[in-house]
Amino acid sequence: MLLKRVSVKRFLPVMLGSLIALSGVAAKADATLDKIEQRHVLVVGVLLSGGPFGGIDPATQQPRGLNVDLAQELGKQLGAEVQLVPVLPANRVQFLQQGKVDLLIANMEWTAERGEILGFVPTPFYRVGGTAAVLKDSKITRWEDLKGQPVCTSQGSSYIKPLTELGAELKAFKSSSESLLALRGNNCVAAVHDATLINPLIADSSEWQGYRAISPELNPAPSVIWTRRGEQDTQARIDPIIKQLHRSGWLIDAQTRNHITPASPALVELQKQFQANGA
Amino acid sequence: MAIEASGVVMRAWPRRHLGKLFLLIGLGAALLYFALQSPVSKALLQWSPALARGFAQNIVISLVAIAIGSLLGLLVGALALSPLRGLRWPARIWVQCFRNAPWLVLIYFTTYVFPFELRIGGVYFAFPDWLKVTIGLALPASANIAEIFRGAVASIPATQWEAARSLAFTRGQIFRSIILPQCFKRMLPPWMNLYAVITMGTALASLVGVHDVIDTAQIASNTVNKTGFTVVIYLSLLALFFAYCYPISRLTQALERRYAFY
Repeated sequence: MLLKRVSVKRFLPVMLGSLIALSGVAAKADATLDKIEQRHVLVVGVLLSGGPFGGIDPATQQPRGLNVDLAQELGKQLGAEVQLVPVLPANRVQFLQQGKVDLLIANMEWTAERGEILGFVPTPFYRVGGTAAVLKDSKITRWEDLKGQPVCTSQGSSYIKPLTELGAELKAFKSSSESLLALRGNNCVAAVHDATLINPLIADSSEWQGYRAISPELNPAPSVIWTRRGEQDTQARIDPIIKQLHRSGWLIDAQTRNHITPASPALVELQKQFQANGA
Repeated sequence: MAIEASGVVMRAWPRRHLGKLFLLIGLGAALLYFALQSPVSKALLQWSPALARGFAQNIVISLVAIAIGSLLGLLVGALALSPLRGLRWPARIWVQCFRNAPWLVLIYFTTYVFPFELRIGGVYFAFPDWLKVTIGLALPASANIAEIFRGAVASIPATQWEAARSLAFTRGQIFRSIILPQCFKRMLPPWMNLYAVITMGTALASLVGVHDVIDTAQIASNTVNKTGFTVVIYLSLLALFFAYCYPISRLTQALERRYAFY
């Protein structure tokens, strides 16, 4: 007899493999959405560096800001309790990748490089560009003038790459306040930060009277909500929520409520766009 | 005798420093008067509860770190004194590794190597960042305490060992009833010194995202966004750490004088 008895054991790997594959298909959604729906907990990494996007209330010591409001709203609409995890520019990507947080709402603008290593919700919730604070009598009027000059910024800022390409000599501080302090101490000729930080400062604050901002905005980029790579289901679940928040004007209200100035023209633009599409 | 002497010292202190004390109070009152009027100090006052809470986090980290470090350090120190090479060498390696590594590297190591949550029997336990930092500080603390312990044992004159051995005490008995009671007294000042250093080391916690006093100060200075405030808030952090560590340092000095051997 040529036929030999075939042991079940030989097929075990195949059977196990197909079982795992089947169970993968059987699951409704990707790991994060499953986790959110099973535990009813949404863990959001927020950047609380101070300022209108994310900070803490000195009286109650509770987190506040646009990032926090958006996280709470998402949690409400997903029916999950929101746990906020404060992140730093240095550790936010790692926290997301290791699963400590499910989403990042952390002033992290979309760039092609980041888009390759992480996933993101396609509709942006904000758009912000950079501007530079320079002394009024400074010779710098265009971004190209920064070539070879010492420029202060903060670590993990999305303006580091365009500034490097301009040939500026970068000094990256831990946060914006140190960078601005360094500018005042003449450690650099310009400090480059979000326009929402620099413009109100120069417009309102008496101690910044001697400074002016450079326009147009550097590298205006959409702020998006980040997920782990390949989590399409989570993104698909959140994207309509963001669109709805644009359409209903919730994001514009949140901007006003958190005193973010100047108001972003992008929000109005996106509201119009989705109102046209949705109606 | 000792109690009497300390009583005299207690009474003599204010009398000797009365002028300085008045000067300090006057200076403080003047500062407070001017301070309360400027917007910078109003902001500082507004943020002080948040700063106090942040500093409480630093103190918790330092206390837990010194507690873990002491327990671990005494164990490692005892192993390092063992006559068995198999026990002595691991302890020596532990001490050398953790005493000579930069604290920040150890903190980064513990923060990014340990998982953020543990699953025990289907229940998720969070492993918070502050605890990871605490462990990161406890490791060098344990190595230093092991060295302090070894040094204290070595500082007991060899003649005491010889005398005890001639009285037919065993090695264990010599340790328990003769050497160790003297050691703990000698270990106290360097131990407190180490505690003060660890407290200052807790400032590193903000670098890995623990919401401590430094982190609070950064949020505050980014929110208020006034150059004067940024300077003042870092100065007040300096004052806060000084106010906590200086009494420890003075107490250490007093203990050193009291237990000095000439």
